[in-house]
Amino acid sequence: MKNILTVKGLHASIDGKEILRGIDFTVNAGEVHAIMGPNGSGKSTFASVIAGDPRFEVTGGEVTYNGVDLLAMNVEERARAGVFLSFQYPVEIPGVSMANFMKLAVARRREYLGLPQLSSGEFLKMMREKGKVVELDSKLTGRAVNEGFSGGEKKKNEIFQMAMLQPELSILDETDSGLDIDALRIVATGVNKLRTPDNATVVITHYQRLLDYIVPDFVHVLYKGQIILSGDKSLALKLEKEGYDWLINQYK
Amino acid sequence: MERASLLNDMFGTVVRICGGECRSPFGIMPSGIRVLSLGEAIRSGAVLVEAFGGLCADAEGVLIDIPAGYRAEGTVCITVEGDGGCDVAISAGDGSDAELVFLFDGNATCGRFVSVCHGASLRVREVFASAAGESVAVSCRARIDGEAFMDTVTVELGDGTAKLSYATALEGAMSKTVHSGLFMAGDGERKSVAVRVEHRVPDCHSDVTMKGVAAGDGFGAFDGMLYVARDAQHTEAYQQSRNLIMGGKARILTSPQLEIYADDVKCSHGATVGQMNDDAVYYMRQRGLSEAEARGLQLAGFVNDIIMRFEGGLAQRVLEAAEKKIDAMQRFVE
Ligand SMILES: Nc1ncnc2c1ncn2[C@@H]1O[C@H](COP(=O)(O)OP(=O)(O)OP(=O)(O)O)[C@@H](O)[C@H]1O
Ligand SMILES: [Mg+2]
Repeated sequence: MKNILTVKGLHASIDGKEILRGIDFTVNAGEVHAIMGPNGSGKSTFASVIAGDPRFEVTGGEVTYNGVDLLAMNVEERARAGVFLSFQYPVEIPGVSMANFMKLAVARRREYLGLPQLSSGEFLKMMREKGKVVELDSKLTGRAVNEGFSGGEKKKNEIFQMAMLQPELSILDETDSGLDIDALRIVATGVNKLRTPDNATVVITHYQRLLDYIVPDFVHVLYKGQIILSGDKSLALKLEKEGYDWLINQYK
Repeated sequence: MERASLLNDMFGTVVRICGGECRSPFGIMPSGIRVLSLGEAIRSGAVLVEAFGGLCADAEGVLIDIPAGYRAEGTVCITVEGDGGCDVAISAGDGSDAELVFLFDGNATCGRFVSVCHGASLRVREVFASAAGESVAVSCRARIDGEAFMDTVTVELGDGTAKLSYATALEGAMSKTVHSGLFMAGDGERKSVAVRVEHRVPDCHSDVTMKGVAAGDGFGAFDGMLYVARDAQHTEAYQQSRNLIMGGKARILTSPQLEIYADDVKCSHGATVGQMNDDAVYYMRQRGLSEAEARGLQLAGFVNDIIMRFEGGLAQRVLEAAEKKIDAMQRFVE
């Protein structure tokens, strides 16, 4: 089984405050991992550090991605190499059209993969096709990035971008929050459609309902910057029923 | 800045003013627009200086006379280059409809005097493209008669200094002026734009949007004045100054002001000075764009709605010139 991501003893801080306190985490091709954990436990921070958010400082540990040192790469190098983060809070970028933004993003990704660049016609066709994966209204892809999008539309737009870029490692940070019941099904089904034996998905979520659709091979609980328990999909069901207290008490 | 190429071989009617003198032949253009010596027109009495606010009796330069009822056939381009000063007077006759494109560069100093007569519609598009070390100064005065409309788009993307001032008086009821503009102060550059709009009579409409960008140690200034006379009831007037600062040493001063003496009016004004959004840059980098590309897209997103107001083939050329400027500016962020 091909290894995609290996994290060993990862420590990270922001403004001198340590948030990640020794994370070990391994993802192989074809797998789905779920990361759960109480608010403020460091889930988004972990996703940001893997993505290379320059605001966080890595103070210890190693991360290898497809055998190379991920921490030596900057944000865009990681993205081009196939690391994708679906943001918990996607950013609105007034004046920048989705099409212009995605055209550059796709061009950089294809450059990295050594694929020929798309013609305008091919690109537009791809926009239309990938929009269908999450039933994203084509009017939205004609607008500025996330500007005036509803909460749910922003999340759909994240998965639309994932479909456009065909990443190898996707980290979906609470992509289910803000989605209505139908949208949740559509987005989750979309994510499943994008799964291949060669890529891997990490979903960060608070709720089992997403995991009903995107069934995880592993479930991890993050607490105070450490993974305190890993299990299979039954762990998520137990957490849904019983909350985190039993686990946290045990941890203390 | 490849400014000459901006207008080259594009348009049938080009009036070229170089070193303060008109280098194009005077006469009636194929389109029907008359291009005359301003000095001679004043001396012969063909032009009354009073018809143009602020025009001196000894003015020298070019008179562009758009006949009454004229219907736009293509665009008239006026290039003002080299060193030296010159006046350009424009008369848009009753009910005429025309578009003028100005290109300024070099150390040009120019006074522009516009009279938009009853029911006329005049579109003015202007690009300022002085090279580094050059300084362009243009002062524009316009008066607009009843039911007439002037629509101005200003794009300043030179690498030198620019000092632009506009004073527009709405003198006839139901007249309207719209002015959208953009100035870009790159490292080492100074740009200043002053826009004054006077509502002298009731039922007029004005809308001014000026955008500024400064990078490196660039400096920009916007002075806006919206004046509404006591009798000018039912005025609708808007003035907006929106600015983007890139980097810690860049500065833009903005001063939008209102002086309103009428009581039944709809007026608003506002100014913003913002920074590049770092979260947006990070977001775009996470999708594989370089930092420069992300900044460039954001800057382009800020300025494009102004540039898009150029029409036809010129739009593409201005866009390309603006992209070069944007590219140069986003390098000077720190
Ligand atoms: N910029 C910052 N400055 C200071 N502290 C921060 C910053 N960003 C995050 N933190 C802190 O780091 C901790 C982890 O935050 P993080 O966003 O990773 O949590 P999370 O597990 O994703 O929570 P949630 O479930 O609410 O999304 C929190 O205590 C948070 O306050
Ligand atoms: Mg979070």
